[in-house]
Amino acid sequence: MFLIYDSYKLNQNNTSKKEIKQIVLINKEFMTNNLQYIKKELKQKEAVFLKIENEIKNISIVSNTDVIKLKEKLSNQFSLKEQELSLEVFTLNKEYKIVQSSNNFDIGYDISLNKNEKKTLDNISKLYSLKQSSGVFFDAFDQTIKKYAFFKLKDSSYIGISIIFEFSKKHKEAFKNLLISLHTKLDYRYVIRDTNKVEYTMELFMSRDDFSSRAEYYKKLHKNKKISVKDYSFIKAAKEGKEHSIKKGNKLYTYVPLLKKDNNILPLFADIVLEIESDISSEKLFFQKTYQYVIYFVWMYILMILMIFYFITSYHNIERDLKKAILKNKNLVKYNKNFIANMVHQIRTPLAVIMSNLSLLEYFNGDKNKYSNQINASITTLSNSYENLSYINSYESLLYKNKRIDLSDFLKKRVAYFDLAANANKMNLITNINDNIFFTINDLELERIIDNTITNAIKYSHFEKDAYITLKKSSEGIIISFKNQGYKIENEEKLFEKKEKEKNQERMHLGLYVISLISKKHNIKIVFRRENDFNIFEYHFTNPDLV
Amino acid sequence: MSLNVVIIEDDIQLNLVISEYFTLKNFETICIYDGIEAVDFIEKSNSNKIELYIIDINLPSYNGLDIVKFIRKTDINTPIIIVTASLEIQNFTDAFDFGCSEYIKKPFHIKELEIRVNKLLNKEIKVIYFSDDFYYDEEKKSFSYQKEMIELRFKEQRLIEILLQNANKLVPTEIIYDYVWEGEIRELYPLRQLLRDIRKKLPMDIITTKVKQGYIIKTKQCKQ
Repeated sequence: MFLIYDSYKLNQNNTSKKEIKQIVLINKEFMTNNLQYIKKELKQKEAVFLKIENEIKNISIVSNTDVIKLKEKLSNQFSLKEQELSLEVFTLNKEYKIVQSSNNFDIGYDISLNKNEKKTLDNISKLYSLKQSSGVFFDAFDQTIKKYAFFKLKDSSYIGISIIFEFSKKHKEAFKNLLISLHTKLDYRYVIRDTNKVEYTMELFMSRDDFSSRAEYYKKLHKNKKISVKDYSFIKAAKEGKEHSIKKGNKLYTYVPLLKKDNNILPLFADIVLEIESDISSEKLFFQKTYQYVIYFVWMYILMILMIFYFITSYHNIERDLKKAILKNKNLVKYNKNFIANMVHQIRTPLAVIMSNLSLLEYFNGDKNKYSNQINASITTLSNSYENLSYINSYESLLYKNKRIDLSDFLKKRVAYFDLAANANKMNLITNINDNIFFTINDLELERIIDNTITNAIKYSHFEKDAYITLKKSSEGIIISFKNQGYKIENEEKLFEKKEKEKNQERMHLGLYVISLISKKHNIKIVFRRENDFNIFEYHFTNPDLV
Repeated sequence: MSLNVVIIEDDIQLNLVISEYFTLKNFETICIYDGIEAVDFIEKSNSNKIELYIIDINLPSYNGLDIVKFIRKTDINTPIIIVTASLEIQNFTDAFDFGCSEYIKKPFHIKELEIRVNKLLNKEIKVIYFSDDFYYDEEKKSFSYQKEMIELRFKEQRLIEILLQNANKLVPTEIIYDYVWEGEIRELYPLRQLLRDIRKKLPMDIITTKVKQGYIIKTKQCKQ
C-alpha cells in the first residue's frame, strides 16, 4: 500500500515539477526576450531624453509653469509619438510630493517612495540643473518603464520629467496569448519595496481603475500594513531570488523569480515573480483515499492482531481444558480398566470355589441333576462373559504369545467344557473333529473364538435343536465350522460390532466383537452364512506359515 | 498308595475344596495358606515325600513364583501346577522359566485340574468303558473284552471315533458321512453295512439307531 502510494506520489511530483519547469522555462525565455527588446529600445531612445534635458535647461521654468503645455511642447518638438514614447511633466514640492502633473493621476504622489528618485532628488545641489535618475523605474501601476530627470527650482521645488516606455501592445498581447496557451493559471507580480521599507506586490497586466490617483493607492497600501500570504510568497521569492512552493487546499502555488538579481538586462525586473497554480486535487484525493485505506488497513491489522490474540488465548485455554479433560479421561479409562481388571481378578477365585464345590456336590449326590447342570451352565456363560471383558480390557496391553496348538484336542476339550451348558439348554453339541490338526496361535485367544461361538450357538438355537461343530483341513486351509438352527440374524454387517442398535434397543455383541479382534490379528477369515434354517459361522485359518 | 499333594493357596475356601476333592480321589493333601509358611514347610519337609505342588501366584508374604524358584533350588523333579487369576503373560512365561510344569487359570473345573494332575503323575485315563470288562482304548483304537483285543478296520475306527466324540449324543448320519467317508459317499447302505460289521465284532450292542436321524453310542463312563 505504502509502496504504491510512494510510487504514485513520486510519479505525480515528477509530472508536476516537469510541467512547472516547462512553464517557468517558457516564461523566462519569453520575459528575457521581451526585456532584451525593451532594453534595446531604451538605449536607442535615451538620446531623445538628453535632447529634452538640454531643451529644459534653456526654458525658464518656475514652479507654476503649466506642465500640460510644457508636455505638449516637448512632445511635439521631439516627435515622441512617432517614436512610441510619451512624456509626463510634473512639479514637486520640497517634500518631493507631486503638486502639478500632466497626468492628474500622479498628483499628490510622494515620489520619494521611489528609492532611485529620492536619491537623485537628495543629490541635486545646484539650482536649475537637470539630474537624471540612475536606471529606469518600472511603474507596475500602468506597466510602463519610466526614466526620470529632475530640475531644481529656486523655491526648493522641482520640475520632474519622465519619459515613458510603454510595453508595446504586441508585447502585452503576446503575454496574454502565452497565458492562454499554457492552460495554467499564472500570475505575474512585481515586488516593490519603497523607501519606507513597505513591501508590496502589484499584478502585471491589471487595470487599476478603482483608484482615482496613485497617491490614494499608496495611502491605502501604507494604511494596511498586513501582508497576505500570497504577497508574502511573492516577496519571499523576489528577496531570496529563488523558487519556492506552498500548498493551499487542492492547489500548489509555485513562486519563481523570472530573472536573476544580477541579470545584465534590467536588474529591476528581477522583482517580477511568476506564480504558477497547479491542481493537486487528484493527488490529494489519492492521498486521502490512500490515507483512508491505510487507516482501514491499520484498523484491520489491529483487529486481526486482537483476533489472533483472542484466538491464541482461546486456543491455549481450550488446549489447557482439553489437556485437562484428556488427562481426566485417561485417568478415568485407566481407573475403569483397573476396576474391570480387579473385578475380573477378584471374581475368578470365588467362581473357582463355586465350580469346585459343585463338582463335589455332584460327586456326593452320585450323578448330575438338572439343577447342578443349570448352575454349571450359568457359571460357564458367566465365565465366558468375564473372559471377554478381561480380554477387551487387556488385549492392547498384554502380549499374547503364540504357540503350536493341537486344534483337534483343544476343540474337543472346549466342546466338553460346554457340554453341560448345552444340555441345560436341552441341546447337544455334535462334533465332527478330525484329529492331528495343528495351528500356531495363542491358546487364550483361540479359546475366546471357540468359546464365544459355542456360547452364541447355545444361546441362539431353537429349543431342543442340536448344534454341529466341525474341524477339517482342506485345500483352503483349516476350517472350524459352527452350525446351529436359530433365527435369521438381522444386520449381518453389524454382527461383529461391539453394540448394535436394533429396534431402539442396544444389543451387546461382546463375544463376536472379541472374535473379530482376534481374527483380524491372526488373519483368520470369518465366513457367516445362512443355509435353510441354519446359521453357520466358519473360521478359515489360512495363514500357511501357521498351519 | 496315597500321594502327597501340597496346596499353597491363600483363599481358604478354594484351598479346602481342592484338598477335599483330591482326598476323595485318594490323594493326601497338605494345605498351606501363606508364602512364609510355604517356605518354612519346604525347608523342613522331605521332598521325596511330596508328589506334586499346586501353587497360587498371588500369595501374601511371598509370590507364588518365588516359591517355585525356592523349590527348584533343591528339587527339580516334583511337578508344580501354577494356579492363577492373573492373565499377565509374563507370569506364565516366568512360571515356566522358573520350572513350573503346568498352569491352570482361575476359574477352573476341578476335573480339569484333576486331569492335569493325573497327566503329570501319569495317571491319565485313556480308555472308555462300556462295562466293567469291555472298553475302548483310544490309543490302540480297538476294543477290549475280557482282556481280549477286538481289532477294527479303518472305516470302523472312524465311525467309532465320531460316535465317541459325541458319546451319549445323537450323531446325525450327515456328520458320520463327512467324518468316515469325508463327504464322498452320502448313502445309507454303506453306513448300515459298516455298523453291521462292527456289531458283529462287539459282545454287546453299544450303538443305538435313531431312524432317519442318526446313531448314539452309549458309554458307562464319560471320557475324562
